[in-house]
Amino acid sequence: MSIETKEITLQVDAFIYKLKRRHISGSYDVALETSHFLMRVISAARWTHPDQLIELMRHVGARVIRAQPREFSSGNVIRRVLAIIRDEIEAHEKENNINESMFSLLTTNDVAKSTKSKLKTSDLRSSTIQGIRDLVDEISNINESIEAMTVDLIHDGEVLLTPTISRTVLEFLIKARLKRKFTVLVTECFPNDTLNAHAFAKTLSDNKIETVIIPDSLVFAVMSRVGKVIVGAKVVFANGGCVSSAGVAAVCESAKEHRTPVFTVAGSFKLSPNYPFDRDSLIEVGNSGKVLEYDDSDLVSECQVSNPLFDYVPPEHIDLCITNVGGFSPSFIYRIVLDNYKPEDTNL
Amino acid sequence: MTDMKIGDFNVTETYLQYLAEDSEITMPIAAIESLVSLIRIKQPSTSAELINLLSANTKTLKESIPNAISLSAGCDLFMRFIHKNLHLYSDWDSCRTHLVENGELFVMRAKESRLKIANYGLPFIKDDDIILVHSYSRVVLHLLNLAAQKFIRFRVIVTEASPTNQGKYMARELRKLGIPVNLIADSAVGYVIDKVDKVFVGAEGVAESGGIINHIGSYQIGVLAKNANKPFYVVAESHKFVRMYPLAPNDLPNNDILLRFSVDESDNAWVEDETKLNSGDNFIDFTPHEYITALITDLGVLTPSAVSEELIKMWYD
Amino acid sequence: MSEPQETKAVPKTVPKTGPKSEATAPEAPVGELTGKQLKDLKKQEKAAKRAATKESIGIAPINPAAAASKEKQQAKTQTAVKKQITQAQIKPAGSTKKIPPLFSHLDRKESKALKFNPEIANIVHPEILSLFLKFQNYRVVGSTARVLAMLDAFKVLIHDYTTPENTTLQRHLTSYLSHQIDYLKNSRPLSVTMGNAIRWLKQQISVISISMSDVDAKKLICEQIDEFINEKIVITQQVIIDNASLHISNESVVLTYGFSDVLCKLFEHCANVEGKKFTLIVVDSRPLFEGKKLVRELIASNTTANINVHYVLINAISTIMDKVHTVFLGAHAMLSNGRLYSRVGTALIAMCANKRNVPVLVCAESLKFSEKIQLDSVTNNESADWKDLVKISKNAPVKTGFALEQFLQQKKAVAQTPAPVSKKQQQKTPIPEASEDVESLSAYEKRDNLYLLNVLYDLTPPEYIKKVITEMGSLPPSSVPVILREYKAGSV
Repeated sequence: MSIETKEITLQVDAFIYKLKRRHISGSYDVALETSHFLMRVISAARWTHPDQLIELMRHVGARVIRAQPREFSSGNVIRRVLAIIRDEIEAHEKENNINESMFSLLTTNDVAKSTKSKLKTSDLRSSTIQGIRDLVDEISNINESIEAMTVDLIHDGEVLLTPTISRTVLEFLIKARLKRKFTVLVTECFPNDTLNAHAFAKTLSDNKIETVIIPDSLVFAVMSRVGKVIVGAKVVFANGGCVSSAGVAAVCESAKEHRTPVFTVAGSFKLSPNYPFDRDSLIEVGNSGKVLEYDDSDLVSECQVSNPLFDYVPPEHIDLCITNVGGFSPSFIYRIVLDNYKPEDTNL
Repeated sequence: MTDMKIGDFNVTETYLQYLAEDSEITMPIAAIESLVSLIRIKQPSTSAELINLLSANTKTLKESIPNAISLSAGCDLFMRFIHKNLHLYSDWDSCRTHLVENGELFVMRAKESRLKIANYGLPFIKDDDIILVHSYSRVVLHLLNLAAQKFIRFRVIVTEASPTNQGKYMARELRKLGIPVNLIADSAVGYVIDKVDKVFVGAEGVAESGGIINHIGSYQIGVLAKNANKPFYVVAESHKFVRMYPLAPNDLPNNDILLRFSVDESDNAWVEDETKLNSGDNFIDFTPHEYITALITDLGVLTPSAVSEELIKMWYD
Repeated sequence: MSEPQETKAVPKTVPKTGPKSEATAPEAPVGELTGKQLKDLKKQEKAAKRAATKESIGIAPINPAAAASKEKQQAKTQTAVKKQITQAQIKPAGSTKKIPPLFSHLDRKESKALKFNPEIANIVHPEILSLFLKFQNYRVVGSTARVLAMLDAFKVLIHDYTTPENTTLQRHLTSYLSHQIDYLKNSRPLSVTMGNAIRWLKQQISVISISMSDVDAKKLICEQIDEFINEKIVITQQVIIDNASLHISNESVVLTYGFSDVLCKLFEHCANVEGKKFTLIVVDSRPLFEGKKLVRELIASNTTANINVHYVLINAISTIMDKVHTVFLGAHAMLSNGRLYSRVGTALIAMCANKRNVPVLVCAESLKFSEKIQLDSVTNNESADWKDLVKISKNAPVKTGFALEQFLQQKKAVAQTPAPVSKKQQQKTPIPEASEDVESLSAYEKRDNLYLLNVLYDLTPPEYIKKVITEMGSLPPSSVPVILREYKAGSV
């Protein structure tokens, strides 16, 4: 039954190594790489029944996710592709559509599953690959759709604060500068991203945006002057909560304390159908040498040091989640997630 | 029930009988079952007759049972289902047969959905958790049972839920499963809330806003949990979603015993002695959605706003 | 193209007014008071009281003795000296346009450098000069450490002091001190503790009986200073520690932020004297890294056998807070509206703790209580050198002296070869890859629209603070004004 051929195994292994060794990192790159990888797998796969393809994809997906569970976007892309395949199959077997709803109590699924699929392997392959191509297009053009919303969100003379160094946020702000004049406070993101934060601030200032770099500790002090907080999310969960770089949770919390609106910016590939059950497991711990260098060897031997890289921001601290499919309140994210993924693939 | 003669079918009795026969059955399911029995016995010959019959009996049922919220969820669901599906069946007879034949199936499904919920809810329970549970709820019990079976080591604080004291029953059941339990008075929740990791409550009905109608005391626990930043999870089957929108914790029918003032001490005897309660007295309250972290249902883990979507889907599709 | 110029114009104009207002500020109260005091010498006490309230509001310390002088000439020379001090010695060096638009009102001390000229050396005591440098370079930080250092310097100063002719010690010493203090203020604004101590000292000097000889008077003052230190800091801290140590028990997890003298002693006391074993999470932040100092002190006092020290940075706060039982915070000042004025970042810690129902305890000597009121951290704050933010180093900034800096710059300019053009533009990603150059913002001054903001304090709202532990017992933040009234009535 195993349809994972040697060829596919090789592909998967190579990809997993790349992920594990962080040759690919950052949700954007991972999402693109994953979609290309899945395209290769699908073109190499041999199957007689569409269910086999789904099984293969689930198997491959589970391996990839296990390899790097905190590169959430790889899991998201895999689930998206599974949804594409399932949609393709469903389009051919329309009657087999039993929707999970309150009525599931009362309906009877006496419509037996069609044993023989009329769907041809080659058709499925080509349409799936086309689907992935569309997905790649969507991922790479995400900023354009997000940027369209800038005017609705930023007013002239506003002070914004961003605690994350994110490509999407950067492009969002640069686009917004074309129409509005505003000030951006950028936190240093010490110790993990300070260089990038400086580069980020430089790029903003090059684009004629008034930029102020502030230390991470200053957030509460300036929050009363901030109009809006922009957060670049690493992943957005079904409950509207998100994972972002370390320190962001405290920033959002203080924003909530000051009633400052917080919005997250994330491409749809960052939406995850999962629910953040175990918050500790979401948070990756990084190089503690960045917190306490070996110059401080007298301290290193005497104390424990930790350097969390991420933070979980609960949905109650977020006011709006902006994606390329529109802006939504965090309580509505579950719906967008349902649009993109199939519930049966949530747990691979 | 089949031996009941045509004509003297009493929907309320049937309903109560269903509840008495099977302790695992919930009120909405019992309501659906009684309506199915009604169809089986009355044998309506046209769809119009069917609908009239159903609405008349639903009305009787709702009026005769003091705490009708939960059962009305079942009645409404069933009615809506009939309305939606009448045209799907080419002939009237097959429709009726389908409904009647599947009566047992509904009960089974409802029980299955509890298992489904338990599976969805399992990841919420972790080792070393202290879980606060309010009153008795079958589906919460189910969930905790599953967690205990999976060798998750957790402890449970159960509130006694006076005046009905259903919490005592809950504590007994949990102890039978080998789960360490502490039964506390409702007034002690504030004392323990800091030590609690999460709160689980069941629901009699889930209102359109995503708020819940549950045994009295749920609201105050919700408020305390929110104040202490503890997650407050509602565990409920989706057939408990009900088209209601209470505005305040006491904006519910038949709840006036708590606001009945008297200079006669004996009027208040029910506080001391639960047997003095009238069957018509209702001890439920409404917990607004802002106190609820998530709803664990057979449709998955939902945010409160997803409830209204499900209800909208059901009524406007 | 007109837009960037507009933005440039705003920050440019502001610093010019900065030093000016600073120069005029200290003079104003002196002149005002001179008139007042000439009118009624007898009501000196009243005036002192008034002065005290003014000082506490933030107006520069005034000096009743100087005002008491009847000779106009002397008054003139005093103002002249003041001018010299404020103008001649401190000059902004380098570009000062880098003031973020919102924060232009904050006094920017960053680019001030000393200009030693012989005249100043005549006026300013070398002890103060050295203190100036220590303050400016953050060699001495923390309100307790600073007040101790200042009082020690004053003792030397008073020891070396000789009363000029035609005046008395009571009259002249305070004015002499005022000049020193004015000079010192240029390093960093006075801490609240320093302000309180200075006010006390001046009061003490002014009540010395005129019949006392200078030698005796100087001795008396020095003794009084020692007593003050002992009473207001040493014994006070012991009382606070005895009280606060009740909140630390075996197995408890305690979190603290930065460095606080009294907290450091508290942890040492709990570990070494009481033998409690507990976990201490030290949260630290850029750029001062005072938490490292705390850890070092704890290691030096051999407490690490009993204390399990965790060291994290402020970005980990929400991750780590779930495990914490108690948060201990130090204070720079407790303001009379119940707010805690402390190292920047404290408010964030207190908020996180409060939201998770972790009690936040503040240990503060009553010397740190101030009659000031303030509602947010932006209106009144101390801004530090933005250059501290440029360097991405894990250690506290070590300042090079001005002369050395200039020398290094010259060297650099000579050595500078045409910068290698980076070819890192192949990607379409808009974030330019961070270069290996550690000082990626070295060209920061030349950039328009880019600012660095580095301030030292923030304000924690009283609702985040469970209790304030002082030598007078534990109290809610709302009782700070009560203590202030009692304290003022009792000791001053």
